Amino acid sequence: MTVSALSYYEPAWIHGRNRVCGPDEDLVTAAVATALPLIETAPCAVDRVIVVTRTPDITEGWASGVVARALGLGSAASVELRVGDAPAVLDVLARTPGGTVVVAVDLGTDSAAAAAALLVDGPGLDVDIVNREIDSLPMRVRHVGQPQVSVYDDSRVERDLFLTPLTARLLDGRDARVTGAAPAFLKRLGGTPEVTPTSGAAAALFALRNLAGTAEPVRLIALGEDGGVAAEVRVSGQVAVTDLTRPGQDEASQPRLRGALVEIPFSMPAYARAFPAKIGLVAAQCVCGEVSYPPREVCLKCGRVEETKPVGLPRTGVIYTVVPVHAPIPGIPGPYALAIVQLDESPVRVLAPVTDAAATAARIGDPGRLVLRRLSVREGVPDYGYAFQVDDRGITAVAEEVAL
Amino acid sequence: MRPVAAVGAGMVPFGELFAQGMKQMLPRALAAALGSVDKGMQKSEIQAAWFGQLQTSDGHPAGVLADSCGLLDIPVTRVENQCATGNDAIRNAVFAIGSGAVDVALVIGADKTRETPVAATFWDWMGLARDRGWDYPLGLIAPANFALHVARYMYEYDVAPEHLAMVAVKNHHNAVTNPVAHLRMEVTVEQVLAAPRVVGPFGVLDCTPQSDGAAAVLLAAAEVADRYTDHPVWVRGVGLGLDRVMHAHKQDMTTFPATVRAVKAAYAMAGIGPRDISVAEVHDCFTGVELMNYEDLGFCERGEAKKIIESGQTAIGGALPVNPSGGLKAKGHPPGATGVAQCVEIFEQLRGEAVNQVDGARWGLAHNVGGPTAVSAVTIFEASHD
Repeated sequence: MTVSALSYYEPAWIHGRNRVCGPDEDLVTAAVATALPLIETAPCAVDRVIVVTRTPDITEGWASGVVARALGLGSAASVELRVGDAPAVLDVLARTPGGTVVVAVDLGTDSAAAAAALLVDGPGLDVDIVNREIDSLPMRVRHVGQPQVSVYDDSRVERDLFLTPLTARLLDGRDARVTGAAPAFLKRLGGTPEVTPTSGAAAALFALRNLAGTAEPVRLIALGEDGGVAAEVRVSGQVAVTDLTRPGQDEASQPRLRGALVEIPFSMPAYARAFPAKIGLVAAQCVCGEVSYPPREVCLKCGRVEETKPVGLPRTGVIYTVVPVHAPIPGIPGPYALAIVQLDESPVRVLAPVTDAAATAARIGDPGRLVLRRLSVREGVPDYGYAFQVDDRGITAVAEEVAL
Repeated sequence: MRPVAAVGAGMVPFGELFAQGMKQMLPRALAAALGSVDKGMQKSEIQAAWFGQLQTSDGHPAGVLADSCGLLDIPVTRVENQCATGNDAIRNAVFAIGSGAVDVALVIGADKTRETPVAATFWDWMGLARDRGWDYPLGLIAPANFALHVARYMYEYDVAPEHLAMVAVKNHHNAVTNPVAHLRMEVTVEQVLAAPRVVGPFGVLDCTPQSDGAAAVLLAAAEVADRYTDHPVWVRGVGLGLDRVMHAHKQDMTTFPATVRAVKAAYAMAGIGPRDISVAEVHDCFTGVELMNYEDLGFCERGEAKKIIESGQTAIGGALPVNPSGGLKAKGHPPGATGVAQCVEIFEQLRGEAVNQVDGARWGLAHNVGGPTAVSAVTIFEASHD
């Protein structure tokens, strides 16, 4: 199938030479952040989102409904979670019909990144699988419910017994770009290594961006923990690339959990009542025009009762008031800031924590946008909602046309 | 409505009262109030009681009051209206006496904020005032609740951190001589500004302490007041005001509309205005809130509060002393007791018996604002004419 748009997301926090997630990010928030610009600008309807990751943080109770609401997908849409890495992503790109967004997410403790591709029936970047190798050398094993990963810690074994022969079979004597393994491995496997921020699922889509400017078809080999694929990538039209990565912040200024672990009380009915409006950013508009958020049953302007229709809210706004919260609040990473944001061209204000910034960074009058985050974990249940991300002039979040 | 008089008032000194539960504090506050009645009052003369308490500790509030104080033969109603609880309890009792239903009523307020570890207290008390689905999980603790207002107020009116610190300096100074105050120590502007930060413009010394305590006022109908005293203090006005419960719905956060509504009703009932007030106990849970209160209560124009704190007008000896007791800031803040304890102070001020006496005080005002800054209660008293 054909990729017509790509988006790339790396979290704000700098960890050595890499980026890592903030305390309010997880698979759901990274997937939504990355997929949203593709869906907002898609030339066709998107009715399917496939999230690919090697290490899902939640398997039971996974929040596909949160993803669907936050992306504004219709009720007929599907959101799927697939466990896999770079080869799985190329497989999905090659085999899935148009109207699908494929999101690849790698959330490691020392590097994190996500990327998404919009698949269409039309021109763009064509991906075809030309070779596939299934293999297994369980160098790392993680059992469900066990926090530790069992590692057979011998990189020579991994390289010589697994990656080198696997790559040789996929290369089949030709030159190719190679992705999906740690940089130290890629240098010695043959082919041309692709430099990507992570080496899991997202590496496949970062490698696609690196093919910019190649006129001839290119062979791309993706390696993974259970084998690899070789794909032929051919340019048949323009591809829009959106880079969502913002200037980095020192990880040292990231909010952290302090003090004793305290379970914050959770009410599932309260969660359920708030859910559609809270996750979808949907207000109620009365027939008189008055907009309320959270939606009200009784109109404050005309007094009508429940004569409303849902209306989406803008995601951008300006800080009306903001305070840094220095006091340690059990269960909430801090210090952090709380803001009330006046949404652009809307009567609505929202209360939101400020994210991706030090607690004292935000000021009254700062513009920015609302982004879905995991606001808290309450009795083990992730509670999603919107946080405010202050604009930075250096942000390159504008879609640019790139000829591949 | 029949005129209503306060004929007695007393309280348990505020503090970290780990040794006293509700069952100890309530009888002691009642005994202090009964003991202050000039001509004496027997407990059996009380015909109804209103009990202000936010967070139940030691169980069923009305039952604990009746049981621990030996008041089983009268009706007891628990009043809960966030930090406006105390003055709202007064308001309810005033209407009961004013209507003729009872002649003598007890208003008592008490709370224990130090019954759980500090970590648990944040969430326990936040749970009383936040929407479980929307703002509760964001950690909108009490100082943040008010700081969001004060930060905008300081921004719009160019108010400096020093102006907030002046409130702490004044109220701490007043508390030093007050034997019932929780924090009896002087502070300086420099100390307040250098204190560890809590939320936004508030450092530790801008915040009320977490206090335990209880306070009681005895109210009587005009017809029977002279049985108890020749110097009653008259309740001339009561008012209660509400506002939006979610901060995102408050259009102008440089004011507390609940206070404006409550005080408008109280002034109207008393037939006076802000210029008549000689002494006021206002809700200074955080320093900047006292400045906003000056404007909402009509003590000055909008944006002028910084001038009247700078000029010393609200210090004892100034034109309108505010919080001569030390206020919530230094006297303490057990929420259910706070408003009642303000009335204890005003009772003493208008009888010329206060430790920090305001000379010639004739009209006194007590004010609370609280919850998600969504409720306020005001009580206005007048001294007897001798």
